Amino acid sequence: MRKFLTIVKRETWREIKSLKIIVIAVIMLAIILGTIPLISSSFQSSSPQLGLLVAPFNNNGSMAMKLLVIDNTGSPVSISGNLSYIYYNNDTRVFISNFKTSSSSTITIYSDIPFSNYVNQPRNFFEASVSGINISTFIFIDVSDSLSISYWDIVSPSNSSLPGIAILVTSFDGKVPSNFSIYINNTLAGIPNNFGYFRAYGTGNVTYKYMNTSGFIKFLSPIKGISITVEEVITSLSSSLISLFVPIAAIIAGYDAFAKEKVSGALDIILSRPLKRETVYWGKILGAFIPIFIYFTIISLLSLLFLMHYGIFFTPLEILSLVASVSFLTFVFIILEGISGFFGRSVATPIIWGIVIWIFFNMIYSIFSLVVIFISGTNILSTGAVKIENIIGLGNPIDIARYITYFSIPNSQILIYGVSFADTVIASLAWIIVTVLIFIYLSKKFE
Amino acid sequence: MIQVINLSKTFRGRKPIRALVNVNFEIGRGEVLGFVGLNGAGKTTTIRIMAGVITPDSGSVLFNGVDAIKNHDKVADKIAWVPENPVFDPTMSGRDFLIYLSKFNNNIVPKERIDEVLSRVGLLERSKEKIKVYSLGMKRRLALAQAFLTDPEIMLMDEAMNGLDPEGMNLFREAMKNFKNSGGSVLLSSHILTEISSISDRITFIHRGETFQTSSVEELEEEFRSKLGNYTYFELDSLREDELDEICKVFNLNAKFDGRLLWVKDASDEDIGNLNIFLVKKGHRVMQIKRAEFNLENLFLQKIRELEGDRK
Repeated sequence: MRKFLTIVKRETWREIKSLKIIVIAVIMLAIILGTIPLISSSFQSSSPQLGLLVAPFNNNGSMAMKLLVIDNTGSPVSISGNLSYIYYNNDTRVFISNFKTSSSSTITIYSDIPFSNYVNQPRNFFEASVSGINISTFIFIDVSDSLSISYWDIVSPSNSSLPGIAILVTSFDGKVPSNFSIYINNTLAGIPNNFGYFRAYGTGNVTYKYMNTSGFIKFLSPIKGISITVEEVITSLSSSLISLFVPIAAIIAGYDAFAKEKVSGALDIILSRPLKRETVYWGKILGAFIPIFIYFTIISLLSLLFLMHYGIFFTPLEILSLVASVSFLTFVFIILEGISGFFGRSVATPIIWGIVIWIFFNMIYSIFSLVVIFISGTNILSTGAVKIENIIGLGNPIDIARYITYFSIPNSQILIYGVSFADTVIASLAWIIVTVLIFIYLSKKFE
Repeated sequence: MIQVINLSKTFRGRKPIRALVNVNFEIGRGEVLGFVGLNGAGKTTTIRIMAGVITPDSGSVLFNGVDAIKNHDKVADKIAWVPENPVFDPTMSGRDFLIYLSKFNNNIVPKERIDEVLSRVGLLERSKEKIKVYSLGMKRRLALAQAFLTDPEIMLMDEAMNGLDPEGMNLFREAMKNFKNSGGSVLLSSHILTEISSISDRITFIHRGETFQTSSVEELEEEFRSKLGNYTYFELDSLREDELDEICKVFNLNAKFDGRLLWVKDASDEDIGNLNIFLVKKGHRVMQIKRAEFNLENLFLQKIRELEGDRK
């Protein structure tokens, strides 16, 4: 144990001083600290970014729409808009109602037009156009199938340049819908796919479709729940940054610990000492792990302190999940780089392997999902495709790390549709065990 | 003291390299064993196995009867290794590096011991400097210092004196002699065969991963006399094959050219004079003419020629 701790201490101290690791940590910290004010300001702008539009229709000839706006600022909300009815076939809009509120977050709008006028028309839509919450996108609700009194919302509060979206879902007959579609005329180009702000709440089997899709949004299974919070957005952001930066740092630490010393020959003199080979290797793994863990945990804590300044607090579970995510990614990528160190006798080979591993899991791996979705004939815009993508993600440590953070967010299972907490735990353990076994095998085979 | 028994080792890869086929020798207490072979013969691989850096495919290394490979963590502080390429963590100072290594010993190394070994190799004054500023000679001294750190019973010296200045060479030589005199054993691998023959008690030859002979220096001298003692050699720039044939025919001599030396057997003084004139007339530069004296290098090359001849 004394010898093991000597190696751990030495390796840890060396990596703690590693300029490369420090630079990566600082870049990540800078991005987080630079982004938080943007997120927070978008949440605290005078125009609330969270919109939840609920529009139950009664069946007595008039229409009541309830508009609920969740206000993060605590200040009075002022929104206005109009509701139109569209005959799909000839693209005719029928104005129903204007609405406006200046003080309450809930308003009720009554239509001037009898409800019966809208019933039994082929392929009809309601269109909600709302101003004051930055809605620049028209949301069309296909009511050709009957709908229950359920509500939906899609929010994009992460960036002030992106509009908030409210979806109006109406019901004509009060029945629970079995199937219906939501068409989104998506002008939200450039939205990252893992931002976690696309939420829909409701019941029934829902198919989401885009019109003029130019961005990339995950299609999610609806659940009942609350709307997105700033914590969730930041958790998603952190998880994305962790996925990007932690593997690089871990690969560098893994390279320093194994390949660099192995190729240079500096490892030999240690191995010639009265030590078990395993003591050296595991000491090095732990010694590479600790600095990355320390740095990125510090970054997380600094981010949290910074967030507290903006009045945003994380739950202990959310913090724990971030730390678990960092730990998992760090460990797996150190081992992966350690494995690559056994191949090739030049310095370049393990570096190239490290870069390939990083690019593969960060960028190329998702192609597998697309291939499987394509081969299985699943509609790429369906929840089935999301499920396939998420399940295949269990083979990717970066996706697993993301899942780990999502589980801490209430109702965010929506983001990992088709994957349970147990699946994630099993997949992460499998990754750890398999990579460790490969590492042990190679350490005995290649010297 | 230490026995190397039937070692074999193949380095796997796209093109597997059979580094060791069958290596056998033993070193007694207080003995210096020279280890002689061409580049790539398997000397370093053998030494690295003995040092516990790599493991063999088969065979064993017995240290005082204990399997040194399986019990590396128990016996390695008695087996010191001075590597061919002394590579250490460049970010550490020489002293810190020794302190770090000393923590791996089974017995705690007192701090005074660090100063003592640093002083012994002449590095004490510069021991607080980072290794990255060390010259090759200083790194070699540090390699020797780390070998002494553990109070070893055997030292594995793998080309440990390459690149040393005369003072450094002398230091290594003295260190080895003192170590031997205090009962320590040495396995000495070096390209400087005169060095080996002057220090070693016995010499083991290795070729293509196989040890083929272990003899005392006296036995080798005897062998040299019987094989090469009646030879005269001419050191030449070059010699064509037709010229060699001509020499054999014209002078009726048994002659061989190994790329540098023209070996002539049983030549009289007159033959030597005539041959010299012949070579000069042919436009060759004759740099040296010498009657063969015991020379490990020449004997070794002769042995290699014989082995390669057998192979063909």
